[in-house]
Amino acid sequence: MSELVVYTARQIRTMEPSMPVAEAIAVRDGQIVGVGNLESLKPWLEQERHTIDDRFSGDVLMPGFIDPHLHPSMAARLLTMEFATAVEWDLPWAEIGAVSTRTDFLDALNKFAADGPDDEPLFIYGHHPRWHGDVDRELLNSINRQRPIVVWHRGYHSIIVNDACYQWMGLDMDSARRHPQIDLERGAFFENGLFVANRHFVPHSLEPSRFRLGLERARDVIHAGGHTTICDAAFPMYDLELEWAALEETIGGSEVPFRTEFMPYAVNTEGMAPGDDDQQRVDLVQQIQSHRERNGHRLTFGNHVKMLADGGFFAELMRLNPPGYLDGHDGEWITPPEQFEATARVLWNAGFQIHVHCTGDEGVELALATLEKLQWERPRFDHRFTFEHFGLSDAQQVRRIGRQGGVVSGQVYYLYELSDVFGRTSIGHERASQMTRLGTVEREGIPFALHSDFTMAPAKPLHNAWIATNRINESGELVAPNERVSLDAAMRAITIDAAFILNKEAEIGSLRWGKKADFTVLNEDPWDVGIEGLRDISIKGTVFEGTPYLL
Amino acid sequence: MRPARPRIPVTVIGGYLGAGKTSLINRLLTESSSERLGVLVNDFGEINIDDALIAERGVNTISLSNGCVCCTIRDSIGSALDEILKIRPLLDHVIIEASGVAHPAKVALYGQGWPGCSLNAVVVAVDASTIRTQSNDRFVGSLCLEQIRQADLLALTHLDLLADSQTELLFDWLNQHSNSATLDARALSIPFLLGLENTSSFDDLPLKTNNFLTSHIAYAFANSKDHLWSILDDLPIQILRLKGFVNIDGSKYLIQRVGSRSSVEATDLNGDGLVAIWPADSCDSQQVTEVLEQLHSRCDPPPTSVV
Ligand SMILES: [Zn+2]
Repeated sequence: MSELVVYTARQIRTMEPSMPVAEAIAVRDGQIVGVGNLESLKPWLEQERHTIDDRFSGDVLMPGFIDPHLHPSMAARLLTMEFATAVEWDLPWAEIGAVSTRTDFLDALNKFAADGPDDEPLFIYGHHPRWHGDVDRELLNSINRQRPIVVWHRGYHSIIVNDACYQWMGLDMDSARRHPQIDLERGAFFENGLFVANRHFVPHSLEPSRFRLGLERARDVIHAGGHTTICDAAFPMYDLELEWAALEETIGGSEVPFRTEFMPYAVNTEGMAPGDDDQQRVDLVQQIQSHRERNGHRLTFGNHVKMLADGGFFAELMRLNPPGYLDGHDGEWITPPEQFEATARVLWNAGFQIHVHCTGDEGVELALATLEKLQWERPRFDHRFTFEHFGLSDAQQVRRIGRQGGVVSGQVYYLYELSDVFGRTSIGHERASQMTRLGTVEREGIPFALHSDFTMAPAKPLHNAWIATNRINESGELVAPNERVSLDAAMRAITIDAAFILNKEAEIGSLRWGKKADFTVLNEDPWDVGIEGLRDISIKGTVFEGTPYLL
Repeated sequence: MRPARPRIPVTVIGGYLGAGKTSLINRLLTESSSERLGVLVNDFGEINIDDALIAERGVNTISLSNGCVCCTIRDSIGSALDEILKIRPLLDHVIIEASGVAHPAKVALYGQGWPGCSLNAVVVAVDASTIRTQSNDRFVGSLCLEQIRQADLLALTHLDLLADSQTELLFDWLNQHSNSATLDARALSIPFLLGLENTSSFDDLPLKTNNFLTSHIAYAFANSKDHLWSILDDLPIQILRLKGFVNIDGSKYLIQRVGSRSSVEATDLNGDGLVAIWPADSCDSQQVTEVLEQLHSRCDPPPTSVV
């Protein structure tokens, strides 16, 4: 047996209501032996060989942060691009300030373009006309005629390219000219036109060494956010075996400072049909469970399964209860409601923990109505049916979620970035201001977590906690203050309640005897700085299973 | 710049779950004789092809002895389309089965600009016996109506389950919700969607179930493309198909209309004249002929040779 290591700290926040604060924590073989102070730990210290490690004596320790919903493989594609965005992204491998004027943006483009060889395509992420003005093909040509340049819009839904990029892509100009969502003159590709471009880009970004570089960067971003546990909330994203091999190599190794739980898709096509037979049901269950054979120390598949209700929030494809969008367009279902129910029934009866991506209030309604039906048919206790994202909802739905035993994993970045613009241009102020209704969720006593859905939002748990407790959006407006959550609930939502949603609360999420020795090291105590200061706290590093990984 | 390659016409078949997309596709696949069809479907499970017709069965592809190929859409429509476009010799026609919750107009974008493709039509299958109830469904009512609105051609399935009076009510209801022509799905065939090469005759078309009327003019002329479009716009919406050649200022144009979607493109194909087809009980010949006659009114002699 190894010797005990006792970490002392200025303050330890245990997230255990019975003993919320402590000063010292004794660890052996990656596990917590005891929490308290040097005095109360004496019975252990007198009996065992130990060292006192006071490197954190000026710092604050919390249980390692948990993000129960993000996408490393998606992040890998983004993170091999150069960044020029109006908001700051402190990326561990590069100092990137906010690029918020046209001049700065053009300077950044010129610098990036001059930085590499002409045969290396250049991908730049973060263009936003509001800050950077218009960018078109001719402008990119004037920056560099030889090097293929691709400028991605901040919202991921369009790109601008130069002539050299047309060459590199081997674009079929004749077809592209006919495409309603490609503008060859401007060099613009959007929506379906983007699929045409991605046909050339995806193989490039998934080329093994590049994809691995991206995953290594995703690993560093996740560490820098203070995480010790994450959940990859949609597996597989690309080719299953290639993706798995790259994941094992980059975030599966014994030097990686966090563990990853995987949430496999229920199905990658339309799912079960109402009339499907027993064999198809058995196959579906086996297909999901078969992933467990891959389980290792860092990467594991538990009892989770992912389902999809309605379309993306940023793309305004969530389904709305009446009245719909201001412009009259319709949101989309990802899974046909009948198949959603038929698939959910199979998963429910097989005992899975079902996580439903539902973004609009009609998407929430489908998930909720399905849950109610399944509870009636075959009641289950503690099933932790999870409403993921939870962009729009109403208070009555929240109460029903509570009565059915559902839990919520909320995306608060929606309200930070979109409540203002969606209020004006998409769904009206009332509904927009009440995005991610977590105050009601807390009042109804429903456990909830906060997630980043990285790369949809930065992987920064304290920033999410700041949004959830303050509800101040990007424009500085306070939106639906009654939906703010308490500081305690927000901190639980990135630790013990996030662990609950991953069904791992017995092992992680708080600091007490027997749990994994996972800590996040902070320079300030969240309860000292209060809700206003949460996002300014800096992460000094983490301890994963007893081993420090300082930043 | 590369020379333009031949583009394969793409037809999208949309419609909600249970609308009858799969049985329609099954039939098109197995009936096809002269045309080699490529079909992208969401799930093989539904596709039900007689073993005797199957030449080769792969994990994601089934090849038929009549030259048709059926592929599953796994990652994306785009990659499945790329696979099927690689087949040599080129297929004659590609059909994409839109998912039950897709907006067919969005899937149609693959026909409009995907490398190697051109859009033929958006056909939306509608279950005549359930659509009116479905259109009131809590979750999918608005989607079903949207799908109907996006159709160039509505293919009605299960019409046989309706009494005549119900059929009439259904057509009134459809007229309120869509601007497209409607036909019995059993009359939809590949020659119908693609063919009409022989513009003077429909004898080879399997139009068994409905009584159809046709109108034919031997030579067609227009003063300008705008003039041509204005005439096309005047045609009653019940016209199911229109195909043929129109001369404008000595150049020849190929006109294609499937349901409410028309295209006019310069062509060097040989051919003359125009033909239109519509269900007999939907509008009278007089109305159609009057419109088409406008294309016949210029009394230039027919060109003696065609370049
Ligand atoms: Zn997600």
